[in-house]
Amino acid sequence: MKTKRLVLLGVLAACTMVLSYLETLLPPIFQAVPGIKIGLPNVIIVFILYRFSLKDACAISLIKVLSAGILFGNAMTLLYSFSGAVLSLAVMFILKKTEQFSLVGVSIAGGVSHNLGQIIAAIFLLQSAQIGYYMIVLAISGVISGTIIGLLGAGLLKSTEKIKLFNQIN
Amino acid sequence: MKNKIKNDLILVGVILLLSVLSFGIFKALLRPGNSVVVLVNGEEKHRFSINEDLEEFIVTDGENSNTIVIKDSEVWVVHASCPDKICASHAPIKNEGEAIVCLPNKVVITVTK
Repeated sequence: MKTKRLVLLGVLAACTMVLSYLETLLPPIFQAVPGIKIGLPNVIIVFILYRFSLKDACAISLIKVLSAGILFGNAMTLLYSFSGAVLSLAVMFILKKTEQFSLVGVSIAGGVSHNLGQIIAAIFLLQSAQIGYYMIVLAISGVISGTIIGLLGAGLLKSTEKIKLFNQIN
Repeated sequence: MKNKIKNDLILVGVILLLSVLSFGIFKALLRPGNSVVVLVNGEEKHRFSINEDLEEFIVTDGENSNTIVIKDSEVWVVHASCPDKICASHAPIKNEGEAIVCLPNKVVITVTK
């Protein structure tokens, strides 16, 4: 049982890498504002949060941030995505616990808080609170990307429901 | 499930409302500045009033140069000798604390009180 879980998580970690790479090939959503992405690998993180556990989601998220940061980013983007990932996982976990929101709602909150985490990191790094008014753009993009991620995540959860392997892990 | 979707929509509404609010607060905190300070290598080299128009002032340091313009209480860079030209494509600045940075030439143009 433990080995199956480990292997599945390893495959999923690899999936986040593939999706991170795939995303670098996509055209940017808003040409005017650089750095706004859908965050495709987060489909996997949401999926793990629902199908596995918070602990596993944190672990894979950390692997994703570190390896994608090293491969496709730099020290600065790594720091931004780390603070975004921490905040979004915490928010998603709490909202999921309340059982008041659907997966899409949880994912939207995750998308927005991911951007909020990055803004907070930028305020500290650049020592300027004025980036704060950029938040409105990031809130809207967070809602849009969170919806896309949520719908994809819900689809992934549903389509793996009947796969025996995924049901034997817990 | 229906209830959850309703909650989702409320959540989105609250998020958008909060972001509009924070945008308003940050916007209100921005105040137009009075002077333009040019730092080269971290040292203040020039200081201008932002309210007096200045045509094509060239900031030089050895072989490097950045040409700045002040007009209608806004300042921007029209030309830079560096290869990346990020500062030259930066939008005009006018509020306290805003800055245009040219990393290769170590030139920082900020607006202060």
